Amino acid sequence: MSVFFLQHPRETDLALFAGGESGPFVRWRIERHVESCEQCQSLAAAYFRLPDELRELAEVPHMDWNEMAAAIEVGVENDRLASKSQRNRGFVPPVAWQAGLAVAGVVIAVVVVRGPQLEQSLGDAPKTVSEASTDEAVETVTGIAESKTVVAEVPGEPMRQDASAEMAADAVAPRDALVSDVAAPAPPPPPQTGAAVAKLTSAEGSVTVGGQSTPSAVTAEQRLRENAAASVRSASALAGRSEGAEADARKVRQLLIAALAQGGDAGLEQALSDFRDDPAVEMQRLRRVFEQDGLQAVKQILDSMDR
Amino acid sequence: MTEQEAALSVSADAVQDSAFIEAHMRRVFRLIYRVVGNVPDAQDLTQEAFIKALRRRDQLQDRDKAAHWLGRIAVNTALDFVRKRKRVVFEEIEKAPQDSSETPEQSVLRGEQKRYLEDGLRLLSARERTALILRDIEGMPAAEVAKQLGCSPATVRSHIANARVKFRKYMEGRKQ
Repeated sequence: MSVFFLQHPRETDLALFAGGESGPFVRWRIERHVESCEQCQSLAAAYFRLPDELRELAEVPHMDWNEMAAAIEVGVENDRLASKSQRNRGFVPPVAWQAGLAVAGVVIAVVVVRGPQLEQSLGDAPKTVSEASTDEAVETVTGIAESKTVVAEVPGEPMRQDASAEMAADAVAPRDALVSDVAAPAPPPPPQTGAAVAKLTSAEGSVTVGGQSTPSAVTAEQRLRENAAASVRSASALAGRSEGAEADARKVRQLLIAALAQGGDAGLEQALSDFRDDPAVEMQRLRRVFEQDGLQAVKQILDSMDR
Repeated sequence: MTEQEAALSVSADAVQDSAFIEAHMRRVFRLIYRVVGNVPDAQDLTQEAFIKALRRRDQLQDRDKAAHWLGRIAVNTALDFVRKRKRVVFEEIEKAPQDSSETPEQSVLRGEQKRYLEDGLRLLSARERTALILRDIEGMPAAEVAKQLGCSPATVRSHIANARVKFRKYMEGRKQ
């Protein structure tokens, strides 16, 4: 035997030889070598046994295949619905945008509609220092933290320029901040000289001017904010409700269209009968149409929606 | 597409998907189970493999190659999972099926043997293990294993040879 055949083959070649994956030349060489090499014979035998030993691992636990198939189908269906809704959403602004636009619209509407009223309620206070006439009896008093009543009584005496500026600025600031974009109505006539008494109780949040009680700027601002918040809440709720109702209606129509396509008139009638107690508004509506005007009327509605 | 056509196409797709899942589920599960070694992960990954496959159903031109195509997706899904997890968690012995004819002693011995073999598989890299499982347990030809793993026949032969050598040495260690 030549030296070529005396050399031991590499172990990886023996492993492939045992599995039948060697090329023809390597196989021929190993066969010739193994004939005369006991060491390689036993090694090759170990590789021949290996698949049998590994078959111990071939067992698969008992499974409920039906349950597993159902779970997989649900997963696949969910994935399909998710990807479909993503595709459909391509041309429609996201819900958040729609809600944001709705809220912005409501807030603008509230400001425009209620702006003059607010202005009216604030109008009793002078807008600027220049409007604060020296013979005005009382100016607005604001910024009182303590819950105590302040009575400012100025009988015909000119008000200090800096003090009146402070007060007027305080009184005007919230109004200007809120209604800066809204045209201010004409200021009401100034109160009678020396006769008026401005009395502000910060804890109660009301201003009494000339003996007449009007809502304070603070109260009006709070009310405006509350109105805006309520509008936001109701707009969001409406958006959610209408979206849910539309989706339900679409599902009902799809269901009935599929029933009609698969079972004809009888299929549609059966579906309407089967879903008699379905709480969906659309289903109830179509049920009523069916009972009052017959199947043809329902088909016409479905047909018009289909288009 | 009208609403009616959409509804019909959805139901037609669902029927087709159901048949496809039914036809290939057992094989896909078995493949994945062999790679990941435990039922819960294998179930999740089987579902994932079907979702991936059906999402790309348009890529499948030849229906006859569906099994091979799906097998490749299944193997890749399992390999990705093992690679991320870095280790394989094999099934507890108690969960494996028991032959009702064997005695408790035989059952214990069989369990030990199985555990020993599973420990040996952990010594291999994910690709070596998968190649060995597909070739020596599933009995796939090496060329098919190469396709499933997405590598060349030479590479897969190298994986198989290395896996066998490591495993043989491991088994020899037990006998000594």
